[in-house]
Amino acid sequence: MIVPMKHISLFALKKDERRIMKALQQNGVVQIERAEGCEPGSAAGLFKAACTDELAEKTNNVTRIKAALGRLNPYLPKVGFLEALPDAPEDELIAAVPGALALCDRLDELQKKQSVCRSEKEKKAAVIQSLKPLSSVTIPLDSIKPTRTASFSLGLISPEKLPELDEAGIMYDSYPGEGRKIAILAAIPNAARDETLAQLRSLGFAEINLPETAGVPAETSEALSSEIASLELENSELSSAIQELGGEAEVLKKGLDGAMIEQRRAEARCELFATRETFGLSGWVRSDEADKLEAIIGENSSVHYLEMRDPFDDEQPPTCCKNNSFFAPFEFITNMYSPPDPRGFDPTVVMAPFYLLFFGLMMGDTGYGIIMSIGAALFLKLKKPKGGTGQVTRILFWGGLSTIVFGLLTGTFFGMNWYDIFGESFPFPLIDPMKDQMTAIIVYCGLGFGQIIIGMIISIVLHLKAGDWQTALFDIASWLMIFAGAALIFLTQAPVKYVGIGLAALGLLLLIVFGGRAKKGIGRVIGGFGKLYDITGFLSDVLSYSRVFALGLATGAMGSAFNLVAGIARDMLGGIPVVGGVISFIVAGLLLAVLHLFSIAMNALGAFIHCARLQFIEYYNRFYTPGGKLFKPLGINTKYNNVK
Amino acid sequence: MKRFRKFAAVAILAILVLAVCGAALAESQPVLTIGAEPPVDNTPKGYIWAAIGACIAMILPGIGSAWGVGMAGRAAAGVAAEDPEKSGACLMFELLPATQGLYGFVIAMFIAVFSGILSGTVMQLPTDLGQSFFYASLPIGVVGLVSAYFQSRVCCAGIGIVAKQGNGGMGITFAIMVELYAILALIISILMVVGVPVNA
Repeated sequence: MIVPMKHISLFALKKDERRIMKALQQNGVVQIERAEGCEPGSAAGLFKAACTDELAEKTNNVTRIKAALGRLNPYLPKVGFLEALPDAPEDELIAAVPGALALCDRLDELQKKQSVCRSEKEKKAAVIQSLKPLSSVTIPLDSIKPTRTASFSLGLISPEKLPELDEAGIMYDSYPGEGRKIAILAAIPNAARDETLAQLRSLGFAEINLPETAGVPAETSEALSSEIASLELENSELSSAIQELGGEAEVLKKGLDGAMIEQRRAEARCELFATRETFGLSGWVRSDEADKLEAIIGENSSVHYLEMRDPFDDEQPPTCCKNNSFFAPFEFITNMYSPPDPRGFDPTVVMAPFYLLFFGLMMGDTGYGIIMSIGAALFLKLKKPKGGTGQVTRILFWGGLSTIVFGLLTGTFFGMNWYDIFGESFPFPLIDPMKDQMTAIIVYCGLGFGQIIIGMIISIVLHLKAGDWQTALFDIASWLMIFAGAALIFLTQAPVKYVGIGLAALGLLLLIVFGGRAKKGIGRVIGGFGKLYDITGFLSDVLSYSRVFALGLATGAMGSAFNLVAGIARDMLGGIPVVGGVISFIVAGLLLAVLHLFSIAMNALGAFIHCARLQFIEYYNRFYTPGGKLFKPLGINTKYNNVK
Repeated sequence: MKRFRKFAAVAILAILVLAVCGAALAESQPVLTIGAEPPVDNTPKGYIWAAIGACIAMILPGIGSAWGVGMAGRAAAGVAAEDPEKSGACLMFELLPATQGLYGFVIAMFIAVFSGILSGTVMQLPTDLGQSFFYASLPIGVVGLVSAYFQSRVCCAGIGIVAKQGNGGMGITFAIMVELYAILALIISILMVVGVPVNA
């Protein structure tokens, strides 16, 4: 059922604004919408500037705490998969924000130190690297200075070129080391600078740019190495300090939730507008919560003006569906397609039974149904999931129950045939798709045809409610007449048969004569014949339900194949003397567990999606008006804690 | 796309080669020596055809699914790296092209059971019945291979929807549309396999 929405406009004193917003967020009843004329820059939008700053600050808080949690992720205490979120009051979460931010500061500081440490280390390592070829040089590097008549160049050269250097009359000092080339210090007279350099180059002399270090290279390297060692020690100390911060995860998690609550509220405040003393708010509220809203505002403000009205025709209110606890999870399926139009019809109640029917038929294995139901129930009990996860888990729970029933009627038990377990006289399954394929396909397509017919009847009702009896009669009821007539013709004897012929003929006549009524001229005449072409649509829609047969059979076949595999493993290992019995039992058991769990997962995924598709394309096509936007009231959304 | 065309060509060629090999094996006669009576080989050759059929039903959709899941998996990993919270929705898209391989597995298993490969009675399978198993494997084999590839491309686009909008929504339905043809092929393959009158 779609809940009607009311548009609200609220004016109250600015001094009450924070109190009111807090109360609204705690109760989650209003979706705030930006009112017209409060764009930033306009007189009414002056309030916004301050809010935008606040929002930026709160968003920054969320980003920082999230980043810190991401950085500390490897060191956080592990949370069990089935562990429910802890409960915490809102105030406690918000109070944790400063502490969390302080932790972020501390983490930033440590990380900064660490990166300084690392870059220092790299710099020193680079110097050591550059000093390596000079390790044999025994004079302090800072003592190499040009004199009045000559400058000096330090470089590498092959030892066999030394005699040639002597021949060229170049003065040099050599420092033989371990490498293939040796270091020399060549004197370059200022008077013959260019010639000397050219000569040196032609002999393969490679000059080394001196690193900016003083002292003898070997000694410098040694000193730097010990500095690097101490830097490494510091780095590891910083790492363990960061690791210790992981122990403060609780504060960070609470702080993140608190910061998210504040961010959401700041976001909503940006949609308000204000005069000097008052602020205004416009938005949507569910009509059944209007009284609650009035009470909340009354409690939290000294003076206020609250106006509620039904939406105007040209307004698009948000869509909010209300169903009981059994049907509510199935809204998830509808929303996967598109939420219903706010003035349309909530299909959840008429869809869920078919969804469960076809889900059960597609899974079609009682054993799998039992596992799914128990698993989903445990997950719901222990983890208490909310939102989409909770809805899907509930759908799987009911789907599991449906699978148990339809597994008995048309399927298998963990891939085994019922009559293999209980003997040939066991009355189930009623239809065995493995033995009687055509019956199964016809039954499933027949069920699908039934669903399509119900979709058409719903469409007729909706059109009649909207006062559009022409569409209801000429476009939809005419088809129903044709189908009913055809059924009578094929299934009954003489007197009733003529009724069937009459009915079908009437339907055909209505369709052909009035099918083109919206068109003009010649189209009006032949448009009705075009409508006949829709029969192909019906045909393909009905045949689409044959997937139920294929998926149901695939589940059973996959299960039995896995049983076969485990059986083969048992037979092979059972041959081992003495321990064979135990080993084969364990291995076959493990194989069965793993393979069947895989089979459940894959088939549940397939059934979930294919079933949803049957609803969207074959069923909703007949009557559904999509295009709504979900009602998202200002509320509390947290990640690590449940707010009471 | 070019790569896929090449690949599909190779795959179809492989089927033809397998088929011709099978035919050759099944129909081969011992070399005749001049003047000798031609020996009549009456042993049924259905087992070769049935084995080739089971192989095709597993190999081709298996290739398609492995390829499809691989492609979608790369896209999913890219999104999950940016935003781990979306990995659940991405996983759903990644798994969609996996079904063709499972359908192929089901048909291969059916052929193995019905033709008697598992029970050992396959050696008595008449040639024409064996050929029926071979033909039954072709729908799921070829359609499974091709549809897994194209479904994976839709899935990659769907993962794009997840990356931009947070949930897959209609993307799943788009991807499921491709699957219909694999399912139809599966139905036909099943009907053909269970329709072979082995015990008649």
